[in-house]
Amino acid sequence: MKQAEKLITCILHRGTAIDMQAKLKEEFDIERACSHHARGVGKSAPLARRGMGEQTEKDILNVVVTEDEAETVFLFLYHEAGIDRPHGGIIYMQQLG
Amino acid sequence: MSQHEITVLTDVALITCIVQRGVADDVVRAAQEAGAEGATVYFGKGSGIRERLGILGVAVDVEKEVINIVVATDQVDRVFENMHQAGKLDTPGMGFIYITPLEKAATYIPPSILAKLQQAET
Repeated sequence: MKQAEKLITCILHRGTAIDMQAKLKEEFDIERACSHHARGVGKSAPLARRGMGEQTEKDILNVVVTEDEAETVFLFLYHEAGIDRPHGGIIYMQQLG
Repeated sequence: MSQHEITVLTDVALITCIVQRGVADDVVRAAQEAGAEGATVYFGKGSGIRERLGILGVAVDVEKEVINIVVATDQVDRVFENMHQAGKLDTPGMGFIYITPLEKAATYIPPSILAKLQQAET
């Protein structure tokens, strides 16, 4: 029976995702990660001004994990990718069908 | 690896909106007016309705912008409706919007806000 899987997505500073993909491989032997670039728009970003807020370059990291490793990988990415620091980004997890 | 506790956000949802290139800023602004804090926008290439509209398909740009916004579940309907309206998504070819429930999310929470949340709990 196929194990349930989850998708973890991180929105990070530009240039961070590639390093995190390498660390995921090194630490958990995870190769099911991909990343792409995006533009972040936020009022809470540093130097936000009137209107939509500051626009910054972002990396989006997506990684598929099994249910067993989901919690560990979530915590690992939260700390290693700097999301636990101000303006470090956000991480979220969703169930895959 | 750090073993510090983290504060996770439950009752959050992800709104994904796909619009024609150049429209994202208006949709993001509408989302922020409804209470969203920020958005992530990236490019994509669409296919589907353009091919089915025939000659009218020339008015539908292949190049798309994809908008992702994480919102609390008590705000999601309001943000969704604002985005739908701003993007004119009830018009054929203008785009598509959907909501995905999230198991949890985590981000940096300033100590002052964390203290308020803990106070509210007790």
